[in-house]
Amino acid sequence: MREYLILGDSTCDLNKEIREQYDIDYVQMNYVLEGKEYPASLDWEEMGVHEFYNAMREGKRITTTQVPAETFLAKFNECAEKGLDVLYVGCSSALSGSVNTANVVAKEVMEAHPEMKISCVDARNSSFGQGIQLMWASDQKKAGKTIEEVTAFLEKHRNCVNQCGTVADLSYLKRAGRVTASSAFFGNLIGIKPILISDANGQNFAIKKAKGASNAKMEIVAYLNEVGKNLEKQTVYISHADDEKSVQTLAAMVKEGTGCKDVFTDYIGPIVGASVGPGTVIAYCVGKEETRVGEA
Amino acid sequence: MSITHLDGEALKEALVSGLINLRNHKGEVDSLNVFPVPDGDTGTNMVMTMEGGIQVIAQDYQERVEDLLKKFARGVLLGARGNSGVILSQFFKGFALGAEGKKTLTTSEFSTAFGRGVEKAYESVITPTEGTMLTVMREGFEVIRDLSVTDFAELFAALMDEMRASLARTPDLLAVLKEAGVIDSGGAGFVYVFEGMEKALLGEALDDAGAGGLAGGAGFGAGHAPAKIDPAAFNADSELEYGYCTEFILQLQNAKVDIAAFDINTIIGYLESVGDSIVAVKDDDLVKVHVHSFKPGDILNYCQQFGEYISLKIENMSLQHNETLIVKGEEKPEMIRKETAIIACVSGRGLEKYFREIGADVIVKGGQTSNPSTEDFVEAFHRIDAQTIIILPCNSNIVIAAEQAAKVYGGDVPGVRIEVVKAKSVAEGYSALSMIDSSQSADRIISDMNGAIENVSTGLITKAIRDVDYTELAVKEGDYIGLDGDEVLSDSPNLIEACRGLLEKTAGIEDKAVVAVFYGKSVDQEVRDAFEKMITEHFPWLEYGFIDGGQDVYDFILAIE
Repeated sequence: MREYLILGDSTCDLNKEIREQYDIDYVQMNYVLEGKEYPASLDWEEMGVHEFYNAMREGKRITTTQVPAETFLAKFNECAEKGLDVLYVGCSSALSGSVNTANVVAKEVMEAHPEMKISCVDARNSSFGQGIQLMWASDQKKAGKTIEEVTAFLEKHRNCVNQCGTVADLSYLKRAGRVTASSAFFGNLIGIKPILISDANGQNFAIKKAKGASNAKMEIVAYLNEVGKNLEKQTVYISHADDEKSVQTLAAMVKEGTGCKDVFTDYIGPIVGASVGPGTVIAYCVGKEETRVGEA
Repeated sequence: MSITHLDGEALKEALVSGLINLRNHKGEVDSLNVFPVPDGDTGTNMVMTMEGGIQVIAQDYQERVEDLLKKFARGVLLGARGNSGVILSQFFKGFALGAEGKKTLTTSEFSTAFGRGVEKAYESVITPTEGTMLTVMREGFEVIRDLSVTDFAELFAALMDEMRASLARTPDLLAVLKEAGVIDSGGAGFVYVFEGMEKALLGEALDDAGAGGLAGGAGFGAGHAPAKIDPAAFNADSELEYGYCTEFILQLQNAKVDIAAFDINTIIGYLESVGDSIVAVKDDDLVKVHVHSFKPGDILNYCQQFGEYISLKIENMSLQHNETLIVKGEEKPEMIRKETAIIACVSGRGLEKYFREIGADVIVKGGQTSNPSTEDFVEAFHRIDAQTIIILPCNSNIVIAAEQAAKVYGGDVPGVRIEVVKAKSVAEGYSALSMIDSSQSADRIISDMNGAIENVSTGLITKAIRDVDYTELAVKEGDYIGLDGDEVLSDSPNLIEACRGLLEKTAGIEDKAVVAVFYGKSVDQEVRDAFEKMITEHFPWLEYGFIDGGQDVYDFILAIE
């Protein structure tokens, strides 16, 4: 059996430590701020995390680009030379064109290297919803599963990774075209927090409203309890867009309210961050398969 | 000379005189507030309600009492505004029922009819409160019921004596009146109506100080004041720009149509093909229509196949300088087609715009100083094609009118579900709207609305218009006071202090999370800055935001959740 590389991208939000621990590599997307393009590093090398989110708070517009074809080509060719297959678990295709691009490039590379296998899986989620699947892949690889077996496993279970989060301002997601929400979620509503899940296609979907940040967190805890399975054996992953106080509060509430084994918190990376805006908190757990498709 | 019988004309004159007398005292009735806030619209509402009735009867010779009262009661119902208006309309409905079959009325027949009126009035209120108009009419009835006089002059003398005495006793029955040192405003309005009637019977003519021209017999129609005409606006070279505002009341006729089965949508369907701004209501055998059209003649010919005209009015809209009519003409209300439509009752440019923005499909203008009539709601219903219509009254005085309208319309158009979600303030209305997801089912929307209302506290800040001693507070005229909708919670010469006091006294404020701040017309940036400073200093846990409400009476309306 050929060795294979587990590959994520800039939306998986896994920090360097975890990537090293799980032996996960990632390809970078890019973001553009004030006309300048930056590689979307999950280690915040080009621009610090506070600097990044403060720019958004100041009203600066940040746009993002998917993983360029050349990046995939370079990465896949590099693996071909090393005799490695590739399992790419990419950002939800409802949010990014990266999986598509990867498939196109993969086909070309596999033609040039018939012995090579490149498997591209649409995570139908982003941030830790994608990160969890990358960690699954790594665990399974270590357990001796083949790339085909792992691919099949992910395709079967990806919709069981449940997302539930809230944003401070839904207009970021709206502007980015990365949310399904009825018009009732927009307008100048004071203190109204939308509760967002990732639907069966991997699109963000506003399922309800909560009044005030504290109620929103309670809704998140309630949702995790509703969909989560065996929470007492799980780590709940919570990512946040530069709101340490909020994420710590939520982490404590989740721990207390769900009885989960552990809570892990970290920053939302620059790509997801640019879409959701500062103040966002999103929790992920594993549970019921999501079958809903958002309708505005 | 004694008056032993009242015929249709005499009763008509009495009712017109009742309206004039009420209108002459409108300001006084308005000012009989149980709170030192200028929310006294009782007089205005009762006048508008009476006008609705008078409009229908003033034109014609009224031979039979029963016919007169039937028409009058129907007009009063369609014109009813506010709680006091609805109660008054129900009184006259009962009065009309009590006079059924009568060409004239003797004093004892009058008493019987009056008694039916009292019964109906009590029925119209879910929990009748003593110390109000209800008590005044009931106690008046109890005196004339047992009276054996044949002269109306004597009957009215006894009735008025008792009702005035009863009115004077209202503060003893209703603590809230006593605290504020006033008598009940609705009761006072009712007394003025009957006082005016008495004067007409005694041959005393009243000067109509506040005449809108209606009682004099000049006007009718959908509650519009007669338009001022500027002849220069349309000349030999003008082009017809707006068409004609056409209003009429059509008497359906048995010879022409099966009246009971006649569907108003037949007429609406036709009107839609030739005009807009359509209001068409069928009430028993009467059809009332308001439409803007370039070809009023066609409409008249068409509708004549169902009946004959009781009254007609056609005006070239280019000549109308009546602001409301022009606004209506430009508005071109489009039919709203959706599964669940929402009507909200608010007034003021800012609030109307904002409520539309957050999901109200139709705004029926209404608020503290002007309550919408049943007809205003029916007009709104006609603009909506929905399975469910939800009404947010946004004022406790509008709840009954909304429920009444739902009942009237529900009978005419089966299959439409009309629900009144009892939002009793702008704050509650906002909260209800803000929490819904319009893409959900009607049941879910209604339950989300009710859930939201449960958690919101209303805060109102305004200037006291007179000195009042409350149990715990002595309010000085000109002070700013903070109310929670019912009670005065804070009082200060300083606006921001009054706001702070109100928030502090709001029950469970430490568990509240969000405050939506609707600022009024009088509030400028400086005041908002001061408010902001106050709230961040004293209530740092509250998330807040400003909304330009542009309302008149209240400097701030707070939705505290």
